[in-house]
Amino acid sequence: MKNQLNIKVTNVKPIDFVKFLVEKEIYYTNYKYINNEIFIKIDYKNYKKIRKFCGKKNIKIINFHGLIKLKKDFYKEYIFLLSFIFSILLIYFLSNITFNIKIITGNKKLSDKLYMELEEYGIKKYSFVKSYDEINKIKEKILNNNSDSLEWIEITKEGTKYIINITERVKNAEKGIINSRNLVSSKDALILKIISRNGMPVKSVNDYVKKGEIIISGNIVRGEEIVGTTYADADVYGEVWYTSVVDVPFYYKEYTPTGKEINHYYLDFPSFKLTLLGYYKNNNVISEKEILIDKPYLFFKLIKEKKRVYEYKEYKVNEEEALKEAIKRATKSIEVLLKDDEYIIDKKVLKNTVFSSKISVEVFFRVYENIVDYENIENTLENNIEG
Amino acid sequence: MHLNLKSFISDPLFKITITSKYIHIYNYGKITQINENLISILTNEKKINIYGSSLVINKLDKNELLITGSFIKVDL
Repeated sequence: MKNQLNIKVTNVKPIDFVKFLVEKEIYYTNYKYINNEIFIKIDYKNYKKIRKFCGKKNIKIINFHGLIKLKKDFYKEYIFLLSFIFSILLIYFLSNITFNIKIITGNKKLSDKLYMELEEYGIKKYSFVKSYDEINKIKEKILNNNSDSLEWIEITKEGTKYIINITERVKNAEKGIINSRNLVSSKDALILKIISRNGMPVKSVNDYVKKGEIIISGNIVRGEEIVGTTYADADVYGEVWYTSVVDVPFYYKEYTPTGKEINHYYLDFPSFKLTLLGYYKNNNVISEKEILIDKPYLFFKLIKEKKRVYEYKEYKVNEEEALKEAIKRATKSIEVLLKDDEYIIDKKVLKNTVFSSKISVEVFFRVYENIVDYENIENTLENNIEG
Repeated sequence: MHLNLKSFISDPLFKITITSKYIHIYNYGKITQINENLISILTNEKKINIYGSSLVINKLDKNELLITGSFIKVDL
């Protein structure tokens, strides 16, 4: 690109000016003579010679061409250009800084561990982003270090944020239980209902089963040969039997909590107590004590006494009422063990012994209950081998 | 082919193109005289005189000249 100038020359005769240019072999183009002014395009290197000939006052640069133009434009706009270049560099710099790291998992323990590990490999807040190859190496290292807990990891950069997606590894032991298991009875029972989803039923409704006996087998049998295993899955309900012995005195107190709590703070001296706060004197309380200050150089202890206030009713019952109360208490003791889909089928008093101050009642219950339990087939086989 | 290409890129022959508005000269030797009414040019073989009024060399290069103005006569 040639460095050239458009100049304007005044107060010089055109013919003299052209003669000078010819003599000096100063090459030019675009000669124009308008209103006693000469307009001409010359090479930048000849400008000084022309200026010397015409005089400084009579020559004026109108325009630049070539690299000199770029140079002049740069000097003219250098603040803007430098600001622009600096802004671009700043944006580039900031876009290469990590401002946030997010691990997508519900497992807080694993997430904390990964944060620490990522920090160790340089993926942390306010650090430079890593290249594609570095990220791949870090992923590989993390997977190797956590081969027991991680199945897969993906580190993606979204703007200035790293998003880490992980898939946790399902432990082999758990997988094994799910993959091959027998459904066994959790209690001695009479089977009342089977809703089978997977596996081979060994027992049917109205069969009696002992605790641990297989109801649905996970073994896949063809002929007399076990050709494979699966996971037995079913809902099995049975009749289970309980006996409950309850003693009810003819005279008894029944306590019900009021929800009221009093904190009693006091200094415990060897011979007396000095209440500081919350004194409450009542027989209907259950207290818990906590020593707040106990130092060998102090001759007292600071104690906090938490008092829960109860209301109580006194009951005097006859033999018949005591029996009803005993059955009620026995039923309640069974009911607390049952789930929503379980219930007492029947109950019967087996034994009723009357003493002078109390009655002792033994109640028999028939209960409709879920009797599902599972047994790992591998364990069964091992046990069989050991046996 | 090499010679053809060389002559195409840098043709050493003298050339003059005359139109009513301009005279274009290629590969001239030297400008010997210049004023508003006469421009004399020396080539290797001969002298060329361009007569006219308000004659101006509009483009001046090592090999090339472009003369404008009102032409009366060109002596070749």
